Amino acid sequence: MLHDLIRVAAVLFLISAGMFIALLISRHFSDRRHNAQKEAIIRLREDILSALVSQGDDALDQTLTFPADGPRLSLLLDLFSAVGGIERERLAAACSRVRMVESIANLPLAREETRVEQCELAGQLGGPAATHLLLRHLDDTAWRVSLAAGIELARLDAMAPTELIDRLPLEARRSRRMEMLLHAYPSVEWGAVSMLQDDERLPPLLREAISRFATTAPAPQPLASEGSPVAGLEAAQ
Amino acid sequence: MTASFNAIILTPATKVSFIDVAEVVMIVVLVSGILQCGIYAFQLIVAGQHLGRRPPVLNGYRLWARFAPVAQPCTIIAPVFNEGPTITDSVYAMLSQRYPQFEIIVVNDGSTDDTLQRLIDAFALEPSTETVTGPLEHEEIRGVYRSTFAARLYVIDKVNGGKADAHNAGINAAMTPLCCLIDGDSLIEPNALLRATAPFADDPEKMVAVGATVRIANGSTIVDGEVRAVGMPHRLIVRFQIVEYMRAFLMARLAWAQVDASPLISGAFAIIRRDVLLDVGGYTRGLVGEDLDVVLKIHRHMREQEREYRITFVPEPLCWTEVPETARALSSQRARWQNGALECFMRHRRMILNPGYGRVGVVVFGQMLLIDVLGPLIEVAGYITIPIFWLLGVLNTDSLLVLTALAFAVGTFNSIGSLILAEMELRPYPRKRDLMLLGVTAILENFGYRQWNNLWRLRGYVQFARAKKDWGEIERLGFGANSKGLYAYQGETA
Repeated sequence: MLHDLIRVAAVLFLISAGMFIALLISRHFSDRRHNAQKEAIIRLREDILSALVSQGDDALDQTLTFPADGPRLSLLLDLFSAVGGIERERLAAACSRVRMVESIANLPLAREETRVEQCELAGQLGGPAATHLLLRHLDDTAWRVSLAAGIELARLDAMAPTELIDRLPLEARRSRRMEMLLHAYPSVEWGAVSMLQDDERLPPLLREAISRFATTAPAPQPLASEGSPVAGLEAAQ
Repeated sequence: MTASFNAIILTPATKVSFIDVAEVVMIVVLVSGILQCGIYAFQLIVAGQHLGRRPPVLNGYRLWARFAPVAQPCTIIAPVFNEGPTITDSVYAMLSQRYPQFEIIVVNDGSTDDTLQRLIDAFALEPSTETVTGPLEHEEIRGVYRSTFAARLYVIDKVNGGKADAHNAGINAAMTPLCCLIDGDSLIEPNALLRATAPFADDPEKMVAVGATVRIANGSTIVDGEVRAVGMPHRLIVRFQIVEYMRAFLMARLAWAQVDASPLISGAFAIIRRDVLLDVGGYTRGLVGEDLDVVLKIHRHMREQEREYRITFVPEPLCWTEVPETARALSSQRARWQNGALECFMRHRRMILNPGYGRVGVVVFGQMLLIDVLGPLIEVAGYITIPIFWLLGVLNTDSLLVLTALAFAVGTFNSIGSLILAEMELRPYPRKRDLMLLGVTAILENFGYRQWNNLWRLRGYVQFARAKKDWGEIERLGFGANSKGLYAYQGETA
């Protein structure tokens, strides 16, 4: 038995040493890859933009033929977000949104976060193809993807709030980001939604949010707090 | 010499009893070692799984777009006591937070150095007529100050009452739904609040507290409260602590959080719902391990109230702290941590292995009992008795070698494992040389440092027995400066 234990200790030592050597080797190669990727991302952004702007739809499949979980979807999303305002205009002028959404929709997306990004991008692009894609993601197995799809559907005003809330999984409905979903609607008949504030199936926080929205105009409001941020510091006089 | 010694003092009867004792010691050390190995293996697997599955860290813009619109107002509460050398850097780091609604309350807990004056000078503080009201007890407030150019910043000057007391004053003053409780010498990352409050947005009903990885700032370049370049400290004693912190945060805390059994959120950075803090009566004054105590109080309160709740952990490093650079300061810190752990363990003893408290009673207290309470005692008992038994001839050389080899092998495996976890997911040190140094450190810590650490922790038992509440004074360097200062709060419990 003692010898067996000695062997166990020796094996543990060897495994530790092996893991550490493997780590150093992988670090060596990943450093090179990392540096190359950093430069590539900078170039890629320009490449994608110039290819899309110059060739329009024809370049879409080409620029989007990449490992789907790689950096390009994030880059494209950045281009379409508020950060890339000018690029966004140029892209919008060069490519048809329908084709862009189609291209993005066909990507095989493995990671949850990438599917969330796909929803956000589809929401930015809009149109029937985007709505179709978002409806598909509304039933995703990951609740964060469903919620992202829900927020974008609300932004596109593609589904009534009552129906949308009903479709979302419980974890999504519990999230404080549901307030973002309610805010995202460009216009909605809040009176019709107010019935949900008494719906016992919904989490209390969501009912509170709906209640606030139902009784006021759907303009963005500050979040609920217990008074001013430092309300405990009261004036002495 | 051993043989003659045996011949002189050991009669056959005493020799048999020595063999029995040696066997018992061997069994206790082995069983304890196997159980600890099981816990560490579990932590490594669970933490690895979580890190492998977690989404990529969002960049600043995406993080803001997703969480800022629903971020709840938050107050950063930083108790300080004689933090002169680091206080301005720390407050600059707090002010540079990218968060929609936040306030900062620095509680000067009766510092005897120039902490308050430095704050007054650096942030143009002026006395305010405001007073602090609230249900939590604390020492008398001497004055409230507000910055004339940083509207978010308040400084409360109070009579010294300890860190818990200062926290309570800050919690009373803050009325935001969330409180971010940090050490006065903590440097927080600009996105720290937004990242750490994301779990509150995801699960606002159940989430009550969030912790995050704390990193060691020694050796890094810090300018205006921001870590500009991550560097490896020269001193081996600091490198040992880096390996320890990685193991404690990326392995232990992350793993326990995944099974809803977080025993501790570091005092260096914790976000806790204010209503929950008030429900549990705030921090317990006069304790050494107040950060451990408050988490145990939350567990206890929630379980007794039969409320659903979650305490989670964010693996991204959101906070930096300086650690002791001398053996004297480190030994004092470790003794204090041990004292704090024992204190909290005994205060909440009715939860120990009590199935009525679910996982908290069984898992949290079970591992505390094994690792924090009995662990150092058994290890030190092993260090002393096993060589003695070997010298006396009642323990053969093979057994000695097996015990020694297993202890070192398991220790090395755990340290290298946590290093790999950190490297795979967070890449804490950009230079390959630093990674190699850490690897060597992970091996070296098993040969001397670990044993000394356990001996230091034994002093904690003595302090606990004497009911010693003294924080002691720890000499350390200021952030990014050559100035030296004294500070009493080193509340990080890695």
